[in-house]
Amino acid sequence: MIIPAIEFKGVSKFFGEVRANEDISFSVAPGTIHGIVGENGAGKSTAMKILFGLYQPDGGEILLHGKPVQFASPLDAMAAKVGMVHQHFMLAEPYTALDNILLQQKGSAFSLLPRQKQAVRLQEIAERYGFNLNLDAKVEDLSVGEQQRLEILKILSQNSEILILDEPTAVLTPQEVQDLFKNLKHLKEEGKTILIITHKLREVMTLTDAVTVFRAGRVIGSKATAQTHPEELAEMMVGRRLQKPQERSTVVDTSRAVLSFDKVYAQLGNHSIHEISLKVHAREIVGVAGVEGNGQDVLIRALLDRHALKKDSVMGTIETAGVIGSFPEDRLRFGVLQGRPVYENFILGQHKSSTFARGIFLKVKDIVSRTREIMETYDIRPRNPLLAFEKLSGGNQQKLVVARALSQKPPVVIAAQPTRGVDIGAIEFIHNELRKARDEGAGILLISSELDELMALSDRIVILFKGRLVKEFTRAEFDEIALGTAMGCGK
Amino acid sequence: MKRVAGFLIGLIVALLLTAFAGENPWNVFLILMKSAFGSMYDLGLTLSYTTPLIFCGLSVAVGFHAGLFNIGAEGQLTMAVVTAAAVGVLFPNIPFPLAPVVAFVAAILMGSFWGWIAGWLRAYRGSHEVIITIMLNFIAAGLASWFTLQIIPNPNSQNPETAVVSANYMFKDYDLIARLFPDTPANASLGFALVFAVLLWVFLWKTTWGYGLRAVGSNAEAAHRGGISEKKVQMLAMALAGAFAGCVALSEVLGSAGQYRIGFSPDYGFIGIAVALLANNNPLGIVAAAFLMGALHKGASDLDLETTTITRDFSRIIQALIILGVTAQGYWSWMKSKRRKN
Repeated sequence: MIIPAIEFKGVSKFFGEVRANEDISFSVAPGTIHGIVGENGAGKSTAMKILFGLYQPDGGEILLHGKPVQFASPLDAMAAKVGMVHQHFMLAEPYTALDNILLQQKGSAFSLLPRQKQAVRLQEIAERYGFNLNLDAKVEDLSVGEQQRLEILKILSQNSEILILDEPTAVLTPQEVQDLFKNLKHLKEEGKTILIITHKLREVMTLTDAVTVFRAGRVIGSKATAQTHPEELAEMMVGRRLQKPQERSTVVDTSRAVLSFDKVYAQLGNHSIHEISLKVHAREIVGVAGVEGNGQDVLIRALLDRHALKKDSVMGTIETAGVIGSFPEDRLRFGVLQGRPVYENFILGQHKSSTFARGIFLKVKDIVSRTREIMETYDIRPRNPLLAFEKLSGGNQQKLVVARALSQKPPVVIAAQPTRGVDIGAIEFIHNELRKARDEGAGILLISSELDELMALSDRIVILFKGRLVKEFTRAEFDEIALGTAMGCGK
Repeated sequence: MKRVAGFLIGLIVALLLTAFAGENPWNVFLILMKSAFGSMYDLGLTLSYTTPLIFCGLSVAVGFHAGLFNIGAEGQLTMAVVTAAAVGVLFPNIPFPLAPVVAFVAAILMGSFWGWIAGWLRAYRGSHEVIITIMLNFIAAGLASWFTLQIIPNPNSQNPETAVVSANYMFKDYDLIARLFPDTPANASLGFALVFAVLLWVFLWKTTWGYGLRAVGSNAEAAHRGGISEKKVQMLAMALAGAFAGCVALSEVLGSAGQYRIGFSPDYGFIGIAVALLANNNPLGIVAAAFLMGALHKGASDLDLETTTITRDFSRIIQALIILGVTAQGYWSWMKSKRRKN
């Protein structure tokens, strides 16, 4: 029998009352790519941080190649040839790629080499693994994909045998994801063992050899990828069967536009949009796809926060048929009143409606009971309207924000990143709510960085590239590669 | 509970400091208590300090709830008090029930105007309200001095003060509180202060306006997406803050002195900040906090006479330490984590 490269044996980690990891046991064969999947807060990252020495376990042990190890810090882990690429890159932006790698090497034999030789050695490593990168470029000038390559190169330069990648695809375009996967497979052939945290099941299926599912701090099971399928994994992650989304039974009401842009130009800071002309009809979901930073933020803010833009920095006309229900792209910044109870957050925007106010007086009792009802229907936990809003988990916060926007049955809905940072169960729920709103007659503008989400919900997808709408796809034309290409180069 | 404990910690630390000056802390404490509550006269003086502190505490608290720091309560109350005195001096013939009402309305209008200036500048020019209100304090002090000395000086006195308003402006004859504490400036405006505190509480938590005001204070961008105008709220909050500060005219001019005396306020506007902080901006808590601060202020006034080394200014040190004790809530969580480790 092959000795596993990594073996978790009954590892536990508690943060106060919270059991982040409980009795985690699984093993990873050497020279394989192993997926770690689970919902937010399932304990994936905690387990990986224990492996990387960032946390010390409260119980159990970790074996590398059959030998028990105990890492007091990441330095120990790196010395044992374990490297980690964090979800948020750990790079010094004003320095060059080479400097960033050398920064990590402080004190090693490698760092004693003359700089010229170091550069040559690194170039060799980069070429060997197919990580093409201009080592003399400053980090701030590199694209996100290149920065990620740099992070991986950093680890490879230490001769790491075990690589941990935390949600590596979250920030990449579909093309970059493909490149990354090609490179990772290449690394596997070189004999490296790779652990990849993700919650995208399709990636697990295409990339990994085996997969371990986490739920609520425990390991639910490990599977060989070839012997499982996404539905089974999703069920393991969520703990129940997910419904298949049904094809829509209603049709777009093309005779009635509820939101229309006519040659809209707007500018905010360095970002701008140009000549945006777009109509959203009743019972229609229009998806806006694009790599982040191509004007999505300006589009949303021109629509919702006209006051935040300078005078004369908006031109063209935007027409809406009535109230806009919106969920913000950045929940904490635009969506919630921190430190205030759930019910006060729920009525934001509707606080003057006759349901919640009589004259200038708030009907506090009615508000609280209505909020409790909504928390019931939307399954928001814990079910206490008086609780401070930030005591809710991210998924529950987002559900409340969605409930707030949709419960007033607005004719126009702006759904910006409706499921960012939300787990599978809540995603399913929010998607269904959006479909329901659509069927009831709302026109929805969906702005998302998740292609899966856009393709699942939209009737049309428009591509925003450098502030312009460059292309439009109808539902029949949806194709990940074509959409990805359009997002990446505007064609 | 934490606030009360923090208050006690601050007070005890401050009293222990007196040991360095060679005093017996317990003795100092007794002097404070006796001077603040020792007789009806002492209690009356304590209450007469409490009243303007409630008004100023409410003023600062309204600002805080809207995310604004009103350092200008002092200027707002100065303008209001001078206005009340001016109305009283310049229109001596208005009959009784109407006269104090007119003077009071004029005073709070002036106070809210003075506050609104800062709110308007914040909303439309982006000027920070802290800077603006500080500067308005100086302007108010200058205007008040000029008006007092040049326009309506007291003809019967060498003191820098306005002429006394005519008797029909004063509600002394109907004032039960004043009768309860004879020979002190305590008056019925204390009752008004309590009513206003309750009204502010209702306004903040039970009305759509108050909700909007607090929403802006919590997250202006989210409030905007909820259809609440940040600009309007800023102007409203500062105008309200000025109106509450302006209520000091009630206790000072209409209730007791009948005139504006330059320097009558021992920085009520600034102690009001401490009051608001102490009460965590809760209008009802402000009543209690103002009473404590009033008692401290009165209690410390006898330190000059009763001790050899400590002066009345020591009350400032006690205030500061109490505020530190109450606001530095961080150490509670620190102690908690410490306990868990052990």
